[in-house]
This record gives sequence, structure tokens and C-alpha cells, in this order.
Amino acid sequence: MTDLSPPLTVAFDGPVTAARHISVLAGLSGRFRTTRSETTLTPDVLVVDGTIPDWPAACAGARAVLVDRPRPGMAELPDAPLFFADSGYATAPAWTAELPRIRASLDDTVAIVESTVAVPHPDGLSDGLFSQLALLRDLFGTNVPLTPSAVTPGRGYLLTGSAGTAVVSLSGTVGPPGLTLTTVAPADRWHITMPAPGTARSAVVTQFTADGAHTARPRFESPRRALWRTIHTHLTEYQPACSAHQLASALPDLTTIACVLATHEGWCGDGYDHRRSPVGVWTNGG
Amino acid sequence: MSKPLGVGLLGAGPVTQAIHLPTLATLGDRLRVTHVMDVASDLAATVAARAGARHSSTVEELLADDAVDVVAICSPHAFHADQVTAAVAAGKRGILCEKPLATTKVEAERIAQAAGEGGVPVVVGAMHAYDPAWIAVREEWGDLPERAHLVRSRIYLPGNDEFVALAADPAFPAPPPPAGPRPTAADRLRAGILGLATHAVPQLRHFLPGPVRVVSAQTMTPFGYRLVLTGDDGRTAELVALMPGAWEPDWTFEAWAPGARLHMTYPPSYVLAGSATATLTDVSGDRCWRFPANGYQVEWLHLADVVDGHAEPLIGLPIAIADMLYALEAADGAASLLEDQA
Repeated sequence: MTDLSPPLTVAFDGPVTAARHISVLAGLSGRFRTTRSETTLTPDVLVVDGTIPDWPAACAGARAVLVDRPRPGMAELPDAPLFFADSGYATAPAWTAELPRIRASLDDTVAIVESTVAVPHPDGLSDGLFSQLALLRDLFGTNVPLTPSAVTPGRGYLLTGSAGTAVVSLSGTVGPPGLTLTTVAPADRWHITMPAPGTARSAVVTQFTADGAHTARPRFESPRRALWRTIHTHLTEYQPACSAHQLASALPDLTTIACVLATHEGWCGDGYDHRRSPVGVWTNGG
Repeated sequence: MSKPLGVGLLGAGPVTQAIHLPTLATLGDRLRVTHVMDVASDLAATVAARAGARHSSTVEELLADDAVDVVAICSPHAFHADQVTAAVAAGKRGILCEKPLATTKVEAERIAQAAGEGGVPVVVGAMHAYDPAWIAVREEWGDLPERAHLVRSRIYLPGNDEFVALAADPAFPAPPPPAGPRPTAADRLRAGILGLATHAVPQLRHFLPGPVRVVSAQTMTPFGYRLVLTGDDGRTAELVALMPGAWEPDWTFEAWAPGARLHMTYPPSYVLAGSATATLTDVSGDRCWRFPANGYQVEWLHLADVVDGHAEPLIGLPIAIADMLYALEAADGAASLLEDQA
């Protein structure tokens, strides 16, 4: 039995965001109750489509805002207590469970970190990169500066950089959805394979050491469902005023994406004129 | 696009909450939950409210609801036959009945007669038979069913509660098992076969169509079985299950033939983790199939297609009944063997 407080109300800014989240929320029906956005002026959580440039205008009154498919280019965050971004793969439970050990293996040592993400359509490349940047931030505790090494319009990218003593490369391409991430350090190597973020199929997290390989126990929960559980925890167990804006920590990632977009016109083919978007002008707003 | 079909759910327990409601939420353009019935009226009210549906505590009320086009029967096994026939009599357009369709041959024949006379499609909730990877690999396996000499179904699972919690916020605790005399080993074996091994029967029948003989049967503690079946031509199947355990789940179905092998790996039932992975191996190498949708999603979509007149039933009622009778005969044979051994 789930002993829960009354469900939080969730509204959407349109059918696109509703379609992407409503089935996940059906499995959390004791915690969230979806409503029709037109009839709920002040939902507990408002889900907005980050690809629509004027999404901040819709946020007034919500206790929390989840930005789905965040994109660079918004002038500033509107005033709301909590912002979350759907960072795709980064909330995969199998990843977050092993993260402390993976992070520890990279401490103060020469290392290589490389990741490839595949998305089914070119307009998803921004989302893929956003996920990868969130994974890097989890690994290194900070935003990792990256430089575009190769960008193929409408097909993919390769970014390189470094974080401390680790060299980093991220690539994205169009293909069957999924993500791989490999870390290589003197003591061990980790290989993470993640299925598409909408599925409850578990990521496979394997550590290779001198003694052999160990694969972590699978966790059959989608990253998106795990994100919604986090949102519920923030709104029911923490004082919102004391909580950090989860999205704010991702703002430099969006700036990175914007820089790539601005220098490589049409690379992701999403029809949005990123060259006209301000770069790095997001503000916290709270 | 036509208006979504209204779905009425008979029974609001864990299967409804953790499987059918999340599954139907992914298919909102075709199917919409309109009514939830449970004899526990507060449970019905809570689950219905979460789904934005009406609720009631009697079968009659649900069947009288014009907003219900399709009835899903998720009640205890003993009620299935009566509820299927009642739904047909009420003029409903389609029925999804959780397995087992019935508990006796007489009940199955009664269902077949009612459904036939009413012209109502009945889909049995055999999700692995609707798994898209299974459907795809069948198109490619050639004469593997005729050549296979060994088949194995292996089901090692953690407790269901673990996966229910990953799929739903259960509204109420699962009811305690009914009080009564302590079940015998044969009773437990029979229940295990009808409750769990029955998932493998639609696949198994392709390779051991029957009649089959139970040559070995054991029950496992706390829950499980090991069963060996043979056909007249010497082909053999082993079905083994054990739960709960702390290890990761392992739900596989395999078939071996000279020079070829089929390997199916299924994800846990309650979570929306996509299809099985089907691997067909022969001298040319491996070929694999895996899809985003799972068997529950496909069986619901298929029922909607059949009701809307877009498809013929993939698994007709005679086949579903034959599957059920096969499982019953295996369960009875295994129970008899165990009693003889005792």
C-alpha cells in the first residue's frame, strides 16, 4: 500500500507535452493527478514545451515547472519556486545508483570519458546533447566546457574537452535511440548502455577491473518516471524556498548547445533559428 | 481517427492498477478507461478517480454503462467464465479476459458458445503470445517448430511487489490469501502451473503441440515448480520457475533443433520495458528482434483493431481455449504424479 499525501496536480501547456508524460503519470497516480491545463490556473506542477520560445509566459502560479525538451534562447527564467528539466538519460535509476562509485573512480587520475547518443530524428540531437551534458555534470560536479570538433548538419556532432585530468568526448548521431558512456581510468573501466529514456528497460552498468567484470542489478524504471518521483519528493518533503533550481544548474549546458547551434547553422534541423537566440543569458529568476 | 473505445475494468486489484491502467494510458488515442468495478467499493472509487472514470461495485452496473465498449476481466479466476458470458449477453463489443480464460473444460465450452453466438471477440491476456518480438520471430523461424527436440521455459523472478511498486502507486494493500486448509504440494504445483507456467503454453504448443505426458514434477519453496513434459515423438520440454529471489529477473523461453536455436528473453511483466528480445541462431549467425511496445500494449491495440473491424483475431478463441486446456492437462498430470510419488 502506498501511504501518500493528496496527489499533486499536473497541467500541461499543450497536447505535445501531455502525450510525452501522461502515461508515466498513470503509473504514479497516487502522487500526481493530471488536469486539463485550460481549467487549472495554478497547478502544483506545470509541464512546458521548451521548444516553444515563449514558454515562460505560461508559468505564472505553478509551484514547480518541468521544462520538457529544454532549448537555449529564453531570456530568463520566470519567477517560480522550482524548475526542473527533463534531462533524459541522466535520471536513469541504474545510473544514479552507481554514480558515486563511477565518480570516485575518476578522482584525481588520468581518465577518458566518452559517450555516444543516438536519436531517431535530427530534431532530437539537442535533447541528446542536453542529456550527455547532464551526465558529465553528474560525473564531475561541474559543467564541462566542450568544443565542437565536427558537426554534420542534420546528422550529428562530436564535441571534445577536458575536466581536470580527464579528457572528454561526446558524440551524437541519428539512429535507433540509446546512449553509451564509457569511463576509463587506471584502476577500472565502466561501460554504461542505456535504452531509450521512455522505457522501463534498465540501463546496463558494468565495471571492469583486474578481477573481471561486474554488472549492476538492473532497475526497471524509466528515467522519466524517476524524474517525476524526484519532483514529488521536492514538493512534498522539502521547503521549496530552500531548494535549488534543478534547471538553473543546467543553464550552462544550454549555453553550450546554443554555441554549437549558433556556429553550425541547421545542424539539428529542428527549424528553430538558433542564431537569433541569445547565448548564455538565462538567469535564475528566483 | 474514431473516438476512443471505452474500457470497463472488472476488478481493481494489482493487475488492473499496475498493468492495465498504465498500459491503457499509453494508448489514449484508441482506448479510454470509462468505468472501474470492484466489490470493494472504496477501492473501485479510488482507482476510478485516478483514471478519471466512473466506478461501481457490481458487474451489472458496469455492463449497463453505455460508455463501456470493451470489458476487461481482471477478477479472480473463478469469476471469469460467468463474467465473459455476461459481457457477451450485455452486447459489449469486445472482451479482454486475463488468464486463465476459465478453470474447467465445461466453462471454456460455455464461453466459446456464448462468444460464438454473440459474435464478440475475446482476447485472452496471454501477453507473451502478443509480444511483438515473438510475432516477428515466428515469421522467420522456418521449420524450427517441427525440428526442435528440446524446449525450456525458465522463470526466476523477484517478488511481484517489487515490480508493482515500479509500475503503480497501489491504492490498497493486496488482500491476504483466502483462509482455508493448508494447500497440499499437489495443490501448490497445480496453482503454480496455472498461474505462471501458463504464460509459456502458447509458445510451448508450437513445439510440443500435444498430447504430452508429464514425466517429472516437483514443487519448489517458497513458490515454484520443475516440470518435464514429453511428446509422443520424444520431444521434451522443461518448465522451471522459482520466486521470489534477490537476483535479477530471468524469464526466458528456448527451443533447440539441430543447427538452430530460438532464445526469447522477456522483461518483467509489470513495467513498460518494451518487448522481449528474440534471438534466432543458425549456421549463418544470430538474428535479433526487439521492439518498443510490450505484449500488453500489443494485445490491447489488437483488440481495438478487431473491435473496430480493422483486423481479424490474431489468436482465435479456439486456440486460446486449446492453450487453456493444455495448461489444465499439464497441471492435472503434474499434480497426479506428485500425489503418486507421495
